[in-house]
Amino acid sequence: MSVSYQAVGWNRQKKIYDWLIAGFCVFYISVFVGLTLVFNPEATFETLLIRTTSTLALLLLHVILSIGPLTRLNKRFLPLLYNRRHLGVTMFCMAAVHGGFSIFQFHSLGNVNPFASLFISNTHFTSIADFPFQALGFFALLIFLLLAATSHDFWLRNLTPKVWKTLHMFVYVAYLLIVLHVMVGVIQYETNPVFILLLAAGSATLITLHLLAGRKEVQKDNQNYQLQMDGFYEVCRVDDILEDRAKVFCIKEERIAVFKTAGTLFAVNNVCKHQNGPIGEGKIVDGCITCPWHGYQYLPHNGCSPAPFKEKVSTYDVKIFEGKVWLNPAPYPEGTERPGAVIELEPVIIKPVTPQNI
Amino acid sequence: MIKPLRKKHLQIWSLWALILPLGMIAALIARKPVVNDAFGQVQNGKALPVVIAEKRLGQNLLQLRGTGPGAVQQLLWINREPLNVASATIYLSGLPLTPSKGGGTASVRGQLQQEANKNSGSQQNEDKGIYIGRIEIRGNYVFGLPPQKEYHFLVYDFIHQQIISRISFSEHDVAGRKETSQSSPTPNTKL
Repeated sequence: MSVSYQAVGWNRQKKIYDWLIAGFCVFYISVFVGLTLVFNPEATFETLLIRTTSTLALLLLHVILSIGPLTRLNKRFLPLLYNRRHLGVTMFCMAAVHGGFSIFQFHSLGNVNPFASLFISNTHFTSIADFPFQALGFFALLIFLLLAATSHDFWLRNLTPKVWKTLHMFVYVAYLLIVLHVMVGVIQYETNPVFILLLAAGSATLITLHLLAGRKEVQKDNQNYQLQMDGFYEVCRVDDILEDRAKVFCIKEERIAVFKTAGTLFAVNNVCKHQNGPIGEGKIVDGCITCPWHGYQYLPHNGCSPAPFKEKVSTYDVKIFEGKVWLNPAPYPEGTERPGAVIELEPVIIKPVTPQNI
Repeated sequence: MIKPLRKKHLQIWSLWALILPLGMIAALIARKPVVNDAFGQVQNGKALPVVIAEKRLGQNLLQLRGTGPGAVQQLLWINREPLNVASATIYLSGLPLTPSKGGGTASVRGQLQQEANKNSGSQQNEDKGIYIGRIEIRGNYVFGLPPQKEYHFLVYDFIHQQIISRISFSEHDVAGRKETSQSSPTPNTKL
């Protein structure tokens, strides 16, 4: 949204969120170290560090991957999405400490380069039980490094949202690598079933959330609008749309958000220019449509961001007929001003007060 | 989110819904029986009083211990110097293992397979043997042992999949003919 790149917009909400992340990490590390010292007092500092950071990173990764589908299933989770990148970078830091110390402890004591040792010390690629699982973790860490390094809006703008989003979808590949890293690595030597159950529960939760959210989106996309008139489709009743909010309709492959504000309906493309966020799930703030993901704003009548910002989205024609909303899915060029549809107020009949109707 | 991305998300997670459970199940099935509870590490760490046999591995000391001569019940590993690997495990092997020409860095599978071939048809040596426990920092490690006539231990680095050392106690050692059986207190654990 900014015309110049700033390091981070440290607003109050982000500060609170970051303190919560830091506090949780400190709490987790303290509890994990404390329990390990009680139940396994012979554990070395390196082992403790490797295990603490690995489990914390895995937990954070599950939280991060849950946020997307949770927001699609319930809007109350949107504040988490707004701050997700900080959580991602924190997770990468934990994973990097785990990876770094693992390479140090398991591969730096010989006379072979530790990174070479990582790949040549075990070549049982055909065995599941003896599979070189550390290489899987290494590649996952490389993906996390790439994602953390390109997490700033500078890269989003220069790579374009489409490329950036595609790149960041590699987090799913990293997740697969991590699960396999744990399953063919630690789990092969770990006798406590709790670890296996936790990982299985985490994966099952993620899969369920993503499939449920995906199914919901498909249902939205497959809605049929039968009534048609001069290129307009009947989509809903005027009363179905709340004031300063929108309803989203998918007609002819793309989603359109119809906002109601100050007695008028306006239709804009539902895809935010920042990270392709769902504009229609946002609300009108200070007269501007505000994307729920990262707060990018657009004027409802022309789809332009308020000056000095330069983002624009397409606009559409909308009209009201007999209390129903009719929408034309043919887009106007981005930033084209449209009059919208004025909601005519129903006349209020004021009856004179007489002794008979008291 | 644009429609192609929404579709890609759903496709990926539909695929993961198949791959992840399959991968987990395969990994669980492939798990080797790593610990035999009967011979696992003794929880209280107390060594039995009689030293039946003793051998050195560098600065470290290995003792077969029991309650009387010839009745081996424990291995006491006195780790006076840290091992060069952080992932050392001990296995009780079925047959004596000869040192490899490469200074003990041959793969377990390869070397054991060679020995299995020598024993024409015997499947006994196709694995490392019974997992006994793990050695980490300096200190005393007490492991329970099954009764046997002779003991052949394999120190194995499970990360690098390599044999680190082999220690054998022959029938004579176990019978107490080479080493003097004597009552001995457990060494101080703080080395």
